[in-house]
Amino acid sequence: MAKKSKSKARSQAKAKSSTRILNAFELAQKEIGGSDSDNDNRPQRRGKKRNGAVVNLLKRVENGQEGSDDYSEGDDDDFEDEILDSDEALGSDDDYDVMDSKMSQTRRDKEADGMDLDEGDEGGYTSIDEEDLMPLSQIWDANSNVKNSDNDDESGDDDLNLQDNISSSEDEKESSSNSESESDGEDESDENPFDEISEDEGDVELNTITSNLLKETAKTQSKRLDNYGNGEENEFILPTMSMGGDADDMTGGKLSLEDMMNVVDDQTVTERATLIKGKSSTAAVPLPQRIQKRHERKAAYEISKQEVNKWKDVVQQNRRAEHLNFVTTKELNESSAFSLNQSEAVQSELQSKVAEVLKESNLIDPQKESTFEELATAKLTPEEMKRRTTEMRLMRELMFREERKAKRIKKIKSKAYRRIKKKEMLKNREAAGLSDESDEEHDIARAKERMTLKHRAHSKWAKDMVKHGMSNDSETREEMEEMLRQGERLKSKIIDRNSDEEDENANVSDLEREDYQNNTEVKDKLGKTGVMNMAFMKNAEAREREANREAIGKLRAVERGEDMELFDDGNEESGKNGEHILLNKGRRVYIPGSAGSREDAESVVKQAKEEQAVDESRGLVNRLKKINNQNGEEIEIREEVEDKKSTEQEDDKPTKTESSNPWLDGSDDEDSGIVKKSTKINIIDKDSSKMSKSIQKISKEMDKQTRKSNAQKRKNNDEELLLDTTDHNTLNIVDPFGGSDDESGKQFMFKQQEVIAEAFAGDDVVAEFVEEKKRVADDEDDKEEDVTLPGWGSWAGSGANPNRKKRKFIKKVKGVVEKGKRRDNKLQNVIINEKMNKKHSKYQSSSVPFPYENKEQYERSLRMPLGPEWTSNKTHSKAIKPRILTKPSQAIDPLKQPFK
Amino acid sequence: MAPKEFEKKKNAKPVASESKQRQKERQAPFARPVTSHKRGSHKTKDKKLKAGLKKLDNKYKDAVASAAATEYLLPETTGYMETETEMEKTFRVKQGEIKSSVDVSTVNKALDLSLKEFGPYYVNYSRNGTHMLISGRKGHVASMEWRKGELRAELNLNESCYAATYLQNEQYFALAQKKYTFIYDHEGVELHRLKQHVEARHLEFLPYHYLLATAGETGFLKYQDVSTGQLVSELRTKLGPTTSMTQNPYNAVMHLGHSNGTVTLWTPSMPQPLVKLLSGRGPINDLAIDRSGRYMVTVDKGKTMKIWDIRNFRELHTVENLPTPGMNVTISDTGVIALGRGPQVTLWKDAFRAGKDFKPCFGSMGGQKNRNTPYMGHLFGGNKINNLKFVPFEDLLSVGHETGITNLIIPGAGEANYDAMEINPYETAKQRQEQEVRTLLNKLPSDTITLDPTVLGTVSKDTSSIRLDAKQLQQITLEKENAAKKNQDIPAVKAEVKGKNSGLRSFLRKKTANVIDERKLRVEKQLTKEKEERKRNTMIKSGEISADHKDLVDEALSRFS
Repeated sequence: MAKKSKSKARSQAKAKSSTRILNAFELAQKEIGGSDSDNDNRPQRRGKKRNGAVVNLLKRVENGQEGSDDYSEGDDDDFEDEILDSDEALGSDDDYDVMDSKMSQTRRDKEADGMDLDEGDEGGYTSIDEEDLMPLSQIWDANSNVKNSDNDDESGDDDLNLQDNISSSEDEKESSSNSESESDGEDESDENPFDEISEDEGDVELNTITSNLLKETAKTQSKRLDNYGNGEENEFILPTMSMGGDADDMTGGKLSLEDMMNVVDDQTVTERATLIKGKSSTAAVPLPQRIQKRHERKAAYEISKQEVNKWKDVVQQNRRAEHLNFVTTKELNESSAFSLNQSEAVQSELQSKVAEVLKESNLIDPQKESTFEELATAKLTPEEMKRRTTEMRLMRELMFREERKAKRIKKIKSKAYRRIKKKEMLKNREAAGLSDESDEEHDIARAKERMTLKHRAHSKWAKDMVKHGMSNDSETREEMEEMLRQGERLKSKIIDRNSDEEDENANVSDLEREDYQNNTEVKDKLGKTGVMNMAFMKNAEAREREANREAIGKLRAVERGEDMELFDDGNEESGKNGEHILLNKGRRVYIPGSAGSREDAESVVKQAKEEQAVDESRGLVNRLKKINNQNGEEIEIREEVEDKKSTEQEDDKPTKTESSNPWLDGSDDEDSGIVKKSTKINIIDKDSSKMSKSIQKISKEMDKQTRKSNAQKRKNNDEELLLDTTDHNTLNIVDPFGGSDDESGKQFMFKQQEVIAEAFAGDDVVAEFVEEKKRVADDEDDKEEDVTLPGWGSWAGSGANPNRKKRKFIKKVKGVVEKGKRRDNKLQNVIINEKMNKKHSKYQSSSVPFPYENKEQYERSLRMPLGPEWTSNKTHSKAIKPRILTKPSQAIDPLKQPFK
Repeated sequence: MAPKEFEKKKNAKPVASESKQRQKERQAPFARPVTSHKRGSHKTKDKKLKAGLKKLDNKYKDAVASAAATEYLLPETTGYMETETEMEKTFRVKQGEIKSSVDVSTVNKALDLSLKEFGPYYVNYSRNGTHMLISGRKGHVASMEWRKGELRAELNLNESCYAATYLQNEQYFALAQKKYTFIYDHEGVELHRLKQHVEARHLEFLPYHYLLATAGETGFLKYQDVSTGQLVSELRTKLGPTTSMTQNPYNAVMHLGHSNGTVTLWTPSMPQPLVKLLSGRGPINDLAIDRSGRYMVTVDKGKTMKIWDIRNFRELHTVENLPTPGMNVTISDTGVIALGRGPQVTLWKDAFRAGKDFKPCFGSMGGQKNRNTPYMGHLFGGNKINNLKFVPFEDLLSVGHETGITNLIIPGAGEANYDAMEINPYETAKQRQEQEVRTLLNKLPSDTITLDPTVLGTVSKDTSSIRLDAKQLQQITLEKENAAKKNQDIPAVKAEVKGKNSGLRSFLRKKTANVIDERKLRVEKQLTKEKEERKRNTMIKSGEISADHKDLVDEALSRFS
């Protein structure tokens, strides 16, 4: 209560101002509506009171449903609340205009229900508490008589009332801003106004009335539902009375629209009301705009959806398609033979008629284009036409020339152009009277000619000329002749040069002379000091000179024909060398192919001798004969040499096999199960000593005997045994895998593996490898670290139990791979690095990419590479075909709706 | 009636399945089996995905079928020399006999270059086999189009020359000389001296990565990108001088042979070998890998020859106790092994099949049947083989020896059909140029070299194998954020580590971009912290302050920093 009074005091001033406004409004109304009755003032106030006092009660209770009651349906709920709150404020300081009579109040109530349903929820309730309230039932009783007249007034005032309402609502809005704070404060009290009432007066009567109301509303509920179209109804809704009904009647009777309409005298109003009479014919209250719009949208969507759905299949098909081709191939023209025939052949009556009509109406004109052109030119006179055509021709000609020129300029780097240029230059030179060629240029030209041999009758150009019969043409003929002449000129020069050189070469004496001259000259120049006069230089010079002299001497000898001895000399030496190598058994040094090369040398010498002999034969005829013979001989000799060579090779083979550690020789095959003799081979040449030859013979015989004695006589297909082998001083080597060793009589027994082990003693690679493997496995294994702190968590000192089990803290450090899971676990002689290569991570996907659900699916998709290197051409082109094929400048038609 | 019908059905079915089976067999070499296949992994409830997967599968099947169909287009067939009776052996056939019975052009191809002065000779071929590159130990180098007998370049270097290889085509070649490795162009003009490749003895060129790999006396394996000129990586083998080297043409992994009998496998992106194999007791003299990258043959001084299946690193065959240690080995496109031992060359075919019957051996050992006796052999009397190379797309084995080069006719050694998309033995200059551009565009980065190239592009092993939903992803990002909060994404402060190069500092240096972001600030803060701690440590060491010294002022103020 205290609160209320407080708020009242606060809002008094504002209320006053609002009433002032109201008064002004009333005055205005009076002026407008002259037909105002005496109690004209009342309805105004009534309207206002309605806001303030009673109807609010209804509002209070049915908090949820204002929306439907509201006449301005579009408004937001919050906004309404605000208004209501302000109403309360208004009502609260209504002591000024006072709820003067009980009558007025009741009338107001009636109106609230009967006429202005929309206003029903407006108004504050707060005024109740401050008034010395009469019990409502009393008021109603008292009023029952007066009602009629009152109602009459009201019905007459209908329009005005509405206006009034509006104005009041305006008022409310104005005041609302002011009174907001107050209403806030009153919120608490708003919640349950009835509590306050009961507290106030403790009216028992009111309670009974409210209970009556409850009953009544329960009955009217269904009707209300119909009227308002929004479900819920409330007990606190203001009771409405049927016209003739008392309080008692009310409990039993139904409140219907008809009842209320009966009250109304005005004919027009009732007529209007009849429009909405009857349940079936009542027009529903229009839905809130937004909802209505939503419904409209929904409907529109349905329609448009249906429309669009017609394309659904096409779209789906296109989506599923692997390739979409928008390149339409040009359709065959109608002028094509096939279509023409068809059109001519199949021409029904209708078609012909249509064609006729079209022709008549000038809709088809096959010569449209040509006529257009004709039209353009038709206006010209013949002269003009001629001029124009010549002009055009000229232009074309000019353009063509330009084009040709451009082409030529483009080709300007060609050889032909150069040649022509050069020719031009030469011509110019000649014209200028200069010498045709400088020496240097001449030299270059000669060299070129020598290299290319360009100016020959066999040149490609010349051949072509002859072939195509162009040689008959005088011009080309001249050219060819000129060419040949030039070639000859150059050639002759070449020959000249050569002959000169030969001359120079011919004289050895010239050489000598030159040498001598040089020496003297140099000496003269050097004088007596300098490097060249130092002792060692002099010595060196002397040596050189000596060598030179020797060489010259030899050349002289050749001239004189003493060369054969010289060759013999060399031969002897080389032969000796060979002998030396072959005979010195203790330390053999093998020069590859020494024997063969010697043979070669011999053959060369022989040939040279024969040639010499030929040279020496006197007669020219004889000479010629001999040359002929010599050719045959040469071939013979060659053959001989070859034969010798092959035999030599046969003999040479063993030398090589021997060179690789003979004592390590053994069976090449561990599962052969055969004991083999290592091969010790003697090389027998023609040149080798008699001793060695005899030894060889003896050994061979012995070999035969031993072979015979051998129980297992088997022919060895091995390459090595195809060679000439002997088995004296053999190392008997037993197969490492324990083959049958029938030659147990031998004293030396080496196991091959032992031998090899001995050979590679010191570096036991196998053990090292095994060790390394173990080490790597350990290194890459998970590791355990004991991080237990000594003394931590245990007591020390006397009385401490040292035997208590100590907890160990072990930290596991994850390694590269666990020992048991290594890939090389079961592989011998292999260490596989298990470390991850970090650089590969960028070439791998860090997660399974979108459309795929797991790794396998994704990797399946990568199975077939796209490149032409790995797939067939067909697959490749298929794989790289773009999904959408378009052609530039070709319009893509919108999707066509299929028949539906 | 009824039984007859039944019979018919019974008969009909196997026929269909048989043809299917045959088809399957035909397509098998072109199929790409899924490596990781869990049952039901491709089943899904997602309709769209299901349809997509089905489409993919169909595409794959089509691709395989059409690839198998292209086999009919291959015009040539390979064939080996065969004997008429059992008593005859193919290895007894001499080169002269073959020459007398084959056509003239083949005889012409079996050339014999006698170069006695600068041997021993190393021979190598360009990838398409048109050009031959020979280098004598004493510095004589020549590049030639050997079929036409046209000499492209000839050099006399007056320096030891150990190995030579063409680069992407015959326009460039690299030479391993006494100290440095050099690159020359087709005319023999020196283009580059690779200073970093010191004392290289083996050269290999990886054509798809444009990498020149060298190894030699220094024990380093170095990769040089010849398209950009960068040294891609230097790997220290720690195993002494490299005795042999070859590349695996399937995955571009380098195989190095070492003096302790091990073979190591390397990629440029890993500082340690991927795999280490013990393949002999002595130094590995030579090793070779077949074209498909499945088999490796090694020979060592311990007189063994081992054939490895390097898909699973198992020894296929081990031939112990060769008569003499093998010095050279090589494998032809058709899988013929050529083994050089001093003056002898021995060849086997079918040696890569598992089983005792296919183990290479010399001779049938007293008429034992089912032995893989040599296919052919040859002896260079009084000579020593320096290296062996099969000529691409030819039935020829080129042998570089002390006195020149000899081509031996080995029927069935060459690939009969060529793929012009890949290597074209008849390519024109224009085609060569285009091929060069194409290969440059398709050049693979060096770090794509892996032991198993199929893992590229797949989902990495250490992540979840199923697609993560939003919740899981959120959790992951949250974890990452938390890590950042706890400074777990940057190196830890390590005050006790000696030297200037702390992890933080190097981290800062590596992320040197001129951007100051939150992480960089954090790193800098940690770095100052580290510095202070270090300072304190030194002060404690020098005795300026005690170990439990606390600067009260600093401590109080530290809360504001």
